[in-house]
Amino acid sequence: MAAVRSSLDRAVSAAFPLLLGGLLVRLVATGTYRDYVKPSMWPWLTLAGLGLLLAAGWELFARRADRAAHRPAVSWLLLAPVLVVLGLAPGALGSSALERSTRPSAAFVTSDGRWAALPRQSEAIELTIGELVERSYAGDTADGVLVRLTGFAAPSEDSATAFRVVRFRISCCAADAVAMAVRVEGAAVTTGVPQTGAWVTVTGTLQRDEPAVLEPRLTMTDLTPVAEPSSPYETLVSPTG
Amino acid sequence: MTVDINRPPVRTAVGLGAICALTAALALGSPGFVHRPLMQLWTTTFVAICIQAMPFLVLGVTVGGLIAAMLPDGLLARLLPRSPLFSVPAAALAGAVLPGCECSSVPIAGRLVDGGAPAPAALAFLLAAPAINPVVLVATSVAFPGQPKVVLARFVASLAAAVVVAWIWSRVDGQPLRTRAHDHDHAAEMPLRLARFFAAAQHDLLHAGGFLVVGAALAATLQTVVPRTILDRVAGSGAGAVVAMAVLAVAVAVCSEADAFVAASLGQFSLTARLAFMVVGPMVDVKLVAMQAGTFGRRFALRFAPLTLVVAAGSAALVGRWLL
Repeated sequence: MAAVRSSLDRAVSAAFPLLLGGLLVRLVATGTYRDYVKPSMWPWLTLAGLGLLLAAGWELFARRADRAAHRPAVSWLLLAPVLVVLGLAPGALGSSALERSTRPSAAFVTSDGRWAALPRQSEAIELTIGELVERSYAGDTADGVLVRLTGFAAPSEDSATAFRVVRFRISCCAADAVAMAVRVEGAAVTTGVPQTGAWVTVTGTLQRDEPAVLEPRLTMTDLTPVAEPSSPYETLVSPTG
Repeated sequence: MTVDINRPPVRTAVGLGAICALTAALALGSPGFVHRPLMQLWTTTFVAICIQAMPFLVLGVTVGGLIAAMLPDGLLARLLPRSPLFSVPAAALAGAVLPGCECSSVPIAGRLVDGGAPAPAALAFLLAAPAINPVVLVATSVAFPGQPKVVLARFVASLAAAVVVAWIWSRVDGQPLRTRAHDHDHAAEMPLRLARFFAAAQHDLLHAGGFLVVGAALAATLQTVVPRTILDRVAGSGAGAVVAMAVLAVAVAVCSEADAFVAASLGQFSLTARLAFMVVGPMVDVKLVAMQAGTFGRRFALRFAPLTLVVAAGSAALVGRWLL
């Protein structure tokens, strides 16, 4: 049996919490954690990251006279998320994930007519796509209201005259994402459908549908290409806040 | 001369070599590789599950480390009633105070066993804690607004399933549960409390964390390769829908704090079927079974997981009929 730990062994033991903790702190510092989990997770990620760094520090500097640590082979996999993030930087879910993603359904819509009426004004109202889908399902939209939405473009069935603007809504992390979509129509669309996956801000007037429609329709008046937002997902706004 | 692969320096060298090779492969092959749609979906889902679980894993190994460092030997065994008839429900209800998901409960249950808790009681805690704690119940009420019966049904069905599984386990498996930590964990010999704490936490992090990554990879794979339309086909039938949702819960391995939202979004299924999703998920899923195998051994997980799956799905079906 190895009686005293070699410095290599100690360094390797410290590497696990060091790299994991470093990854968490880095993800929060750069803001890219929002590609994977909901924005409000940042205090917990930071706390966990600092805790791991503390454990790494202990391993490096305090555990001197220990025996060699037992590391099961499977523990090496802990480095996989670090390598995937640093090496591949997969980024947020986008249009390529649409085919395999959950679509909203009746029970997903959580608000039952608790929406304030949309004001009719010349200035466009900023809405999340999720809110518009919920409103549409509740029959709580109004003809001709001017709204502005941001999401990525995706093809519609009649791809020459319409397209969809989509945003994923997550409740915890990207593994539970639901694709919220709005169908964009109108004469302005025929002049150029944006490329699939491109982030856009669409301004347009709402078309009133019967209740229970999960893909509301918008007549486009203006289309602006934008950069991918730093928070690429929408999150569920609960009634309790 | 033969090389013993299990000698620490050899293992370290092999591990370092594997990591270097993997890094090189990723760096060389990355650009085209990650932009294939399925690969992008897989990597994002995989990283998301790992990152999401990390704070809960750290919470779990911290509480586990505190149990290892602070609890006097044998205290738990003295405090808990000897008979599983009483200790199991008590331990299951104690799970209500741990504000976390299943990634926390595995290392904590392992440390409870090491600390002398009877196996059935520790298992009841392991199963109940991720399902009935306040954070999860509040998330459930937010996901099912205006339907408090769903929250009640989840609490009742999860508690009942945890207690029944632990009771059955205490009857059919008399052997004391041994964690893998037992054989080689030197934490108990250390004089300093702080040293004990860090040794136990580090040990649990490497074990449970490694298996968490295995589980996240499995869950990401299943999410990526199984088309959602298959679900719609089985959603119609009554008993079939319950089984389908239980199997889905095992496969997708969503965190118990998020599973209510996923369940709410699967509106083509009956409320009872969705209850099965929320009762089974925190107790059996690919990520959790991998972590249990890492903590209590493969043999244990292979017998414990099917038992839990059947009892949890049955409990959800019965409670669903009664309450929903």
